[in-house]
Amino acid sequence: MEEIIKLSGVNKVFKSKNGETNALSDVNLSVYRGEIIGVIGFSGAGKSTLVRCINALEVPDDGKVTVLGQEVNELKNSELLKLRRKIGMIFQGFNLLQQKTVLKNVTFPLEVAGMKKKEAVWKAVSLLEEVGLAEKIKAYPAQLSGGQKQRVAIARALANDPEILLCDEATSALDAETSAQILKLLKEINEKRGITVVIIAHQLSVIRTACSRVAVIDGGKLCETGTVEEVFSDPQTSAAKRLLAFEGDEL
Amino acid sequence: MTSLIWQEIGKGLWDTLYVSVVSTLLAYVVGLPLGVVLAITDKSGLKKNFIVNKTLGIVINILRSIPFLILFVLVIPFTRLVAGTSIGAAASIVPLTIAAAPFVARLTETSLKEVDSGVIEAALACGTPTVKIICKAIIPEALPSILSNAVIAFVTVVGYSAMAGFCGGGGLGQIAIKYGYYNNNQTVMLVSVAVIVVIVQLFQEGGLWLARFKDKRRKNAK
Ligand SMILES: Nc1ncnc2c1ncn2[C@@H]1O[C@H](COP(=O)(O)OP(=O)(O)OP(=O)(O)O)[C@@H](O)[C@H]1O
Ligand SMILES: [Mg+2]
Repeated sequence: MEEIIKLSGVNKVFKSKNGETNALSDVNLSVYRGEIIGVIGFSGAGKSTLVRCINALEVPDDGKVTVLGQEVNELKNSELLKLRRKIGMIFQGFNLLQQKTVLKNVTFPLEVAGMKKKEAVWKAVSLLEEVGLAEKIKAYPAQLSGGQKQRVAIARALANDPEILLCDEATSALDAETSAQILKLLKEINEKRGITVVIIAHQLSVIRTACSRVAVIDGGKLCETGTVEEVFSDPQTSAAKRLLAFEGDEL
Repeated sequence: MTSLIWQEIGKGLWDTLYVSVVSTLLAYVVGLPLGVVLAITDKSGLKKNFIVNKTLGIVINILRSIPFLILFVLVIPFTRLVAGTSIGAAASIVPLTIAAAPFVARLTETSLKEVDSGVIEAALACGTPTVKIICKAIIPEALPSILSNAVIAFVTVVGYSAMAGFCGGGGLGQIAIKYGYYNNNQTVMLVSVAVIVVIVQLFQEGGLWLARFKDKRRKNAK
């Protein structure tokens, strides 16, 4: 199996007035092409920092991050911009351009990548159809529900036909039903397009619905990786056990 | 009041208007890019640069702390160089622009920093080069705030231009001092004041309406 993302020995320390935080310590993780992998951990565990290292929004202090065969932190700026176009990303807060229409939000990454306006509009419309939002093309983000906003964000993330999709708590701001719909959409996209998907969540239910493999992160350390069944039926580490215990409380 | 006086008020009105509009526009030509530099070199900005940020910040603070009338006098040699004279409405554009540009830079900086960092991150994540992030994402997102700040800048410049009128800058300020002070004709002065008040109100309301209209965060935005 092809390792589409590989982190080896990744360390990241944040320095602030209140001292140092080891956001990531010696993280090793391989993600294989075409899979949906979950990264789970409590708040502050380092999940966001981990995925942000994949598209170099965060630069590790040491260690190696290899994506699509390229070492991300060794790339020239122009090469990094190209690589980022192959990595879509969606966020908890949707992060849509508030002053632009739904359509313009989706054509944005296309035009940035140099596509002609007409072509970009064409492609954006078909992407919006794919996520089930064709009738909202002229609306502004403020006029959409949370689930609709996330659909626009997904269309935008898919604009440049990425090979990887990073989802940082993409369903945390949504209710259970909408969240399930978005996860279903992500699974469809994974199957149809063969995109590798990395899903960050702090809810086990999300991982259970969507992922085949899961990595558990706690206090900046990656402590357990395995198939969802393995980890959930027989957790090896105390971190995984605590996460499972919390799920019991939720239900 | 004679028609001559009315004519003069009309001329004063026109001078005040064009001087203020031109000065504000020029102040934006200089101040907007400076505001962009201030915002992106900030420690939470896109291109963090402590030295550039601090140096520019200090220069702007110095310019902003000089009272306008003193600045007006200080830059007279420069005004003569640029405008050929230091007297008259047109010449007052020079000191007005110099006074307003640093103010505009700070206003713009504030507007740009209000833009949600998540939106900037999304633009970064899809491989957008810095210049495009600024021009296509940050500035358009900040536009409503930039517009309402432009109203504040314009009103400030109108106020300054009246002061400039007191020292030979022309416009309604000059009429006020000529008739209201030296000739002790209160009516003319009051009329001039009323005219300035109306101008400011019109621009204030118009500008804020435009800013609201342009802001697509409303539920009923078209
Ligand atoms: N830019 C930063 N500056 C300082 N500390 C940071 C920064 N970003 C993250 N941290 C710290 O690093 C640690 C890991 O943060 P991270 O955002 O990766 O956690 P997370 O697992 O995504 O949490 P959450 O579920 O709350 O999103 C936290 O302790 C956080 O406070
Ligand atoms: Mg996070």
